[in-house]
Amino acid sequence: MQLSRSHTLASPLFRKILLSAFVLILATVGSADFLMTRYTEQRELELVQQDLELVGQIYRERLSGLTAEQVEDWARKADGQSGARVTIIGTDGAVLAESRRERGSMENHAQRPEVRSALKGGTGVAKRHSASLGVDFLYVAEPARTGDGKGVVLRLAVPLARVNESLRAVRWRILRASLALALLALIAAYLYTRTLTRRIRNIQSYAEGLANERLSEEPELAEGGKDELGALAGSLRGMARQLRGMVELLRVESERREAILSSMKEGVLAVDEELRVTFCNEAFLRAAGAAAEAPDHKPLVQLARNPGFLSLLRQVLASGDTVRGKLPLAPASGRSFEVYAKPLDQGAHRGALAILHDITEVERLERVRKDFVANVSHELRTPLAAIRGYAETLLDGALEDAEHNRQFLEIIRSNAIRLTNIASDLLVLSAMEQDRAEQEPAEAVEVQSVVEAALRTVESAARVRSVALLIEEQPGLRVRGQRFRLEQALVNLMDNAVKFSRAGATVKVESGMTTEGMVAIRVSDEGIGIPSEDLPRIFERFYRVDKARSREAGGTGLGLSIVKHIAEAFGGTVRVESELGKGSAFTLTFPAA
Amino acid sequence: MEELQRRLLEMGGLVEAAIHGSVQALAQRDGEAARQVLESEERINRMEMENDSLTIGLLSRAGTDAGGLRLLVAAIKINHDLERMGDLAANIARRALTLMEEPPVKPLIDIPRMAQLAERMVGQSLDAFVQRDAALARAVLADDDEVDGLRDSIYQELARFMQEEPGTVPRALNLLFVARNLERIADHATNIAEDVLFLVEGIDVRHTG
Repeated sequence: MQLSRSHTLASPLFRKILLSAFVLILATVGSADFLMTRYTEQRELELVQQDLELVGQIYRERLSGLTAEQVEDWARKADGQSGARVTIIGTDGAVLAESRRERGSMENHAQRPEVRSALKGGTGVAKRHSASLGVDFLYVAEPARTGDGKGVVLRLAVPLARVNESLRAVRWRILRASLALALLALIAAYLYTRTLTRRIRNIQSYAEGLANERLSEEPELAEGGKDELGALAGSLRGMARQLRGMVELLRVESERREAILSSMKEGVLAVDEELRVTFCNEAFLRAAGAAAEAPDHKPLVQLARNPGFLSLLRQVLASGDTVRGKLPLAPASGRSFEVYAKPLDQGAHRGALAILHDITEVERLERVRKDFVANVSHELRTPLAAIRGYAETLLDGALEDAEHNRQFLEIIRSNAIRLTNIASDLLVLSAMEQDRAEQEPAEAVEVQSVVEAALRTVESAARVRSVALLIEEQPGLRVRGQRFRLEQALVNLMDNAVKFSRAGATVKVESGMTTEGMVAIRVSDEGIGIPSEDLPRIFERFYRVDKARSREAGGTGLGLSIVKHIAEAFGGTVRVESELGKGSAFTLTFPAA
Repeated sequence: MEELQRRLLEMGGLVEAAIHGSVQALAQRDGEAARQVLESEERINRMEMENDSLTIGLLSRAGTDAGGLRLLVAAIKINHDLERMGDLAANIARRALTLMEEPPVKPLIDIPRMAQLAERMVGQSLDAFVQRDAALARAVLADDDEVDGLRDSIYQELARFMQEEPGTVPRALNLLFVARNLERIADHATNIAEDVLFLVEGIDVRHTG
């Protein structure tokens, strides 16, 4: 990541480091400068003082050879030679000679500090404003003697202005050097701080990226220094790798869970204590007939209003027990559900979990099975009762009744035939189920020949009822399955068609390919048709639309059930269309062989 | 406000179940279902009163905005419509109990269809209320005509039965009442749908043809 300069300057860390570096550098360089200057000044003054002392040494020698009268002239000459002001002061403080002024105008010098030191026998040094000349002077005074043995004080002085001038030049040089040094240090500090800040910035933004879960987008952290920051970056990278791994793991896990829940046929619903939806899967939304949208803590009533369901969940929440129930979730849909609801403890959040199992189909099958058992016994009992009844009548004496006995025996026989038919149809059905379980070998069956064979079977019955049979077929169609089963299915359909046709009507058998490449065989009649409310149930065993009429026509109530089983064994389907009074059409559809 | 809406929906669920139960009692001669409907009628009536006092409490609260006021007004009406539907379902259940004692006049075809339609209208009007769905509410309004048509054909058919076979008159009259009750349930569902439109779009669609 490249930071702009202003960006770097805006960084508080950068500013802090730079500011302290700045203060530190200035303080160091400043005090160094100050000390250097002081030292140099001192040195310079000392040098000047030493010079003066040296000159004083020479002058003292000279002075010892002079009389008091010569002193004044000498002083002026000496000043001219050395450039140092020469003053000679008597022990009483009176100025005896002065190189730069008239002696008479000078006041008593006994109280001057340098003079006082010299009078006590030492060397006096002072830096002071000269009251006599109005300039800053460095004075050095020493005791001396004139030629006539009189004790005096020899005082030499140089104007400080001269010293100061040379000092200023030195000071300025030192200052320049200090400034250059400070500048260099500042630049170095700036560059170092900038690099440091950038590296920290990089690590920071990388860590922010981690925190914001932009794990996959974030480019790899480029930081690779060998210092602590480099190590920090290294551990961050390691952490990111681990995080990425964990997030990926969680994502996969939650996706898997989501996939499992949404692909479940069972509706799953989780609610909190106030019956707000915390989770539900698609199956639940379908079951509730609700528009598919994220529930997002909505009250459950907005999805499902069924009072039974609501009170069941309330019961679970109140009692903390698992509750089961059967109820319709949306009464209008006509579907019923088995609900299994249990309390859900998620730490502080209590709630309930409900699993809904659609038992509409189970209940329907249950009903079909119950009906079947009831029907079988009923179907068997009716002919058996007739046979028994007529047999008893015959035994009771009707056997001798030449007029009726034959008729009774006919009835017994026809009922026995019905029983046989029922038994054989039931056998066919159970054999079909057996077949499906055992995967009977299938062969390619030519449809045309099967239709013709079926036709021969029902021909006589059609002739008796004067129903015309019309075949329209496409040659060369083949399906996979067992030949005799297909023939049975066609016979059943054609037989039904003939039975429910009026005299003079036509039964049509058509075969051909559908647009989807399936083989379709259609048997249609112009008979009485089937009421629409019966249509969904006619393929059930023993289901009869018109019980009396069907039985009279000799049906067992199993024919269409057998057709459906056969169609399914062939991997196909059977469909019915019918209009009351206009006729029915059954279409068998099979995959082509 | 949310509590009120939640309670209305719960009451709606009870009413839906009552209507379903009453028709089931009629069509399948299920006495247990009829008795349950009669029981739930009391609960529905209780809920109506509770909802009313809740609504009045909310109304007297200051600072309700225009949308909130509209919801409260709609809530009062929906509450009343639901309660009436509960009563009508109870009526059907009572007729069903009477009819159970005698053989059926005829196989029921149109009445279950009408019931199914009315049930759907009630469900959809409540769904429209939940989702503030104006389009769904309009669909409910459109269905009402079909219910009226079915009622007319049931009237004619039953009238024919009564003329042909005077013995069926008491039973046919009961069925006639059932048809009338169903038609009125559908009317109340229509009212709710209108309230939803008022709520969503702020328009009044009543009495506009």
